[in-house]
Amino acid sequence: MAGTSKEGSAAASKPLPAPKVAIGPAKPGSQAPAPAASRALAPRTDKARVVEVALPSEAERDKMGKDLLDRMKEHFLGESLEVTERAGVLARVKFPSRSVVTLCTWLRDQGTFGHCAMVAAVDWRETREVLYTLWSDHLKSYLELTTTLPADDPHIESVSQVWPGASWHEREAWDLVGVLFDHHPDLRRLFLPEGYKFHPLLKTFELHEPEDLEVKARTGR
Amino acid sequence: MSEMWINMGPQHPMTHGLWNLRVKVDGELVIDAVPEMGYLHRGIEKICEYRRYNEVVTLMDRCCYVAGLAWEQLYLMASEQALGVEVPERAEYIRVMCQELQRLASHLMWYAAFVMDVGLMAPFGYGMRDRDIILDLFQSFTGARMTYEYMRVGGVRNDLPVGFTDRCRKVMGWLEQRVNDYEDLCDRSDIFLKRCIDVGVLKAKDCIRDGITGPMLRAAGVARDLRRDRPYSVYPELDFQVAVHDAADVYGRYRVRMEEMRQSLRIVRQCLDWLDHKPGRVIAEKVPRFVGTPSPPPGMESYIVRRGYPKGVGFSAMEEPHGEALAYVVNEGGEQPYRVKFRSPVMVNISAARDYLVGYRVSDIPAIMGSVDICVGESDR
Amino acid sequence: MSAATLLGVSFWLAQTMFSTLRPITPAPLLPLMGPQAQLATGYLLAGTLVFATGLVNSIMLIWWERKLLGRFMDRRGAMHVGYAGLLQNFADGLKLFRKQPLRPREADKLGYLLSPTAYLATSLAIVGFLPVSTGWVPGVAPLSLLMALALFSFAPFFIFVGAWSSNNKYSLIGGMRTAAQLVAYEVPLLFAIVSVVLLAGTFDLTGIVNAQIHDGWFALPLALGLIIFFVAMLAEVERIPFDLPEAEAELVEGWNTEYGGMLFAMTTLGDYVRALVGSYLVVLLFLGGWWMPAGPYTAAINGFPLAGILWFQVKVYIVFAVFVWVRASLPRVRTDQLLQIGWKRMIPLSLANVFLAAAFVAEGWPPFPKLL
Repeated sequence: MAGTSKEGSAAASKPLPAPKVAIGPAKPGSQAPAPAASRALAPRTDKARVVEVALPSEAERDKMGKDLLDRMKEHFLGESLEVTERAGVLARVKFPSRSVVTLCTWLRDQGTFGHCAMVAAVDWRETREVLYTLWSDHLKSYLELTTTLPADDPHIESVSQVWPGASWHEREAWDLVGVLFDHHPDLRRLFLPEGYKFHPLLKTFELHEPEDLEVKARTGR
Repeated sequence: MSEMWINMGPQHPMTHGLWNLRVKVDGELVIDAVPEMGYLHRGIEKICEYRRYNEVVTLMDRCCYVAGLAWEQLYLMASEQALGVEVPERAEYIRVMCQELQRLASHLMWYAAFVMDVGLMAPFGYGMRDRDIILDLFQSFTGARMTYEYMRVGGVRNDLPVGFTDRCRKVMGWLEQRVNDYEDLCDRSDIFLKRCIDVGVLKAKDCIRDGITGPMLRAAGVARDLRRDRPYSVYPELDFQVAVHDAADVYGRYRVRMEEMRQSLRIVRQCLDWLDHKPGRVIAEKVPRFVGTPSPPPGMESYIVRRGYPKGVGFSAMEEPHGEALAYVVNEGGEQPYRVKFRSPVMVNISAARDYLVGYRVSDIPAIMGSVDICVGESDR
Repeated sequence: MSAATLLGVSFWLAQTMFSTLRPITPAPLLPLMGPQAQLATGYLLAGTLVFATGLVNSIMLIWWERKLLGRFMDRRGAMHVGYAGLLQNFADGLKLFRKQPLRPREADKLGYLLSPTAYLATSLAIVGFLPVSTGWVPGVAPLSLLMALALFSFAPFFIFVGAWSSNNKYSLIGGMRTAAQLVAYEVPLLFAIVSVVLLAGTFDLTGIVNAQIHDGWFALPLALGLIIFFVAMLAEVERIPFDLPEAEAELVEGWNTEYGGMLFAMTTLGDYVRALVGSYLVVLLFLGGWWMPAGPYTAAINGFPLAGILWFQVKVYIVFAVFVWVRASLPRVRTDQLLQIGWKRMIPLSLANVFLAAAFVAEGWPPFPKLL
């Protein structure tokens, strides 16, 4: 898939060790160790270790981050990525919605972003924005991916196949903002009952004070 | 015996809140598990869009009822970034102290609930009692025991009362003793060890795959702690370590939380020392006026836009007692935030329930789910 | 003194009653007041006395447990109704008694209603075979120990029937666990008793107690047996760490999840009656019954039946305090661990204990000449 054709450039720049992350949802029973009747108990002095985390220095991180972004831009030349600076995160990358899986897979495998922290959706009335926040243990920073979907047909490929942990975030985004994730393993509503008509975080969904409803019920107005 | 589905929840002693765990059992063996959320969904993210920035703080207390201050700070860090407000250093130290006290309170509550889940009766009372002592501390400077409404855009509402630091230090010294006692209480019990060791194993790579964070991830040997990895507030100036365990089971999670309590005590002490010597403002001088004025009366005129007020997007990440919490606040120049989005660590940790429940016994479910530390208020929002 | 036995007291009461009532009874009813009726009334009174003391004692055990557990958890326990909350459980019982009886629509009516009743009834019936002092037992039987144990082992059937007929999955799992657990722990329990019977040479509980006057408590030679009996009893009366059938963390309330009101009160009371019986048996079999230490020398005090009863109750409450202590300080074991402990540890140990007792008897028991 992605990254195979870029061996040369990846070797020329500093290659990042790719974390080994299992793909696909776990199958029930696939990792069911036998209950520990026979195994020996751990010694009782088995306290939690405390570790000092060695952080890469600011400059080092900046360099690594810039490096990664350059490689990404190079790899996705045809995809018209817009990379902007943002405080608090490595960068904000705007990408066309059709390339979500390719981009995410590349970022996971080549970019050390093994952890999908959040999938958020924002309703901008005419469009809907989907926002992926990724975390890299190697770079120690977040990366924001964002894409825009038309409000009348908000479809995007699910990234649950890339990070199974994103599954419930996508369910939440579907439930509250009404963004449809294609090929999601289990796209049911997360919080609201199945068959509920509204997606409450849409701006078209207006809140009503309970008092108002009461007054309406009482006076008929 | 044939297989059957059992609903554990929404009202069940194991759930510690309102959620439903559907488990498929074959006799005593769990062969499938489907968690279901939404029983406590109050639409907090929607309500936030109708409240001014300071009014949202009230909602944050309701978001997580065991770590309200953590969520207040999470939200405020993001909205301060969105509004462009600087926080005075003293307020930052008070906030961090609140964080760590809140972590202690939350972990003590977890301890109480967890030992109850494995059937240990007496320490339940001990954990709750010690949490109450921390709540007393909170009460002395926030005025409340659970819904604090203490932090504000740009700092905190009020400074600490006279004599607070000494009182707090005394409590910390006492708690240190108690934490050691609690650890002994559990570790000298063979039955406790048998119930915890090699139960609910979720290895590091599965944790990362499922997006699991917090003590659960650290118990699997991954030293990811946002306080260190992506320092916010004044954490870079404080001296503490990250607790890690390699067991990846219930026992490891218990150990990590115990060690985290000790580290929290260390941090609180450092904050107290700093607060003793550096008086100053606790709320920023320049805060947009509209964040504090009350909302228009309940007709819920949605969204008044201030012409010319700078727009912005705020993003914050913090290590909440349960794990990694993210907040995303969009300021479109309105008096209320345009969109608020939170990442709840508990929600993600529950979502992987099948991966750490399958293959164990029905009796293990409370112990495993107890070790996950569930707060439904924040996962459902 | 010898007249002050349970039956003596009840017959005396019946006699007094009848002799006061006969003069004022109208003539047509006099045939109903004959000597047979008096005898029957005497037995009825004896039974009532036993059951009343059994019930009241169980309710007091609940109070004792609540107080102790409160102290273990750094709180005070029940304290508002009556002195130090002594009447709290009677108030609770009254509340449960007044509740509307509800039955799940899908539950099997006969099994659902009958099993708590049978559970409590068989548990209470055991009390009738346990002497509390010299002569204070209605069922004077040479095999009273076996009778008590036979009644004791009825419970799993009723629990299982109740659990099954509740038509609830939690109840069903709880019921299955009960069956597995009680069967597994019955065996070491019986083996522990066998060792006592070997030393005492009788199945009569009064005889066993009397044997301990001279030979000293069986807890001394059979310390292992006492431990086995105690642990097995913990499992038999379903208390922490073996309270899996009603492990509230996972099974809500276990086999009696669907019971409410008076039926729930009956199941709970049945549990405590069984706990009481367990404590009784520990005291009777291993701790010298109602005899004070140094039996031969304190015989004069023990001659008073009431003193014996009081001393016996003190021992029972202390034994039950140990039950509570265990409950406060141990977590619950898992199902598979429970059965492993039962079949793999307890049974070999209890067999060793039987061999130990047999060795004692073969070498001549008691090892010292009788003092009296």
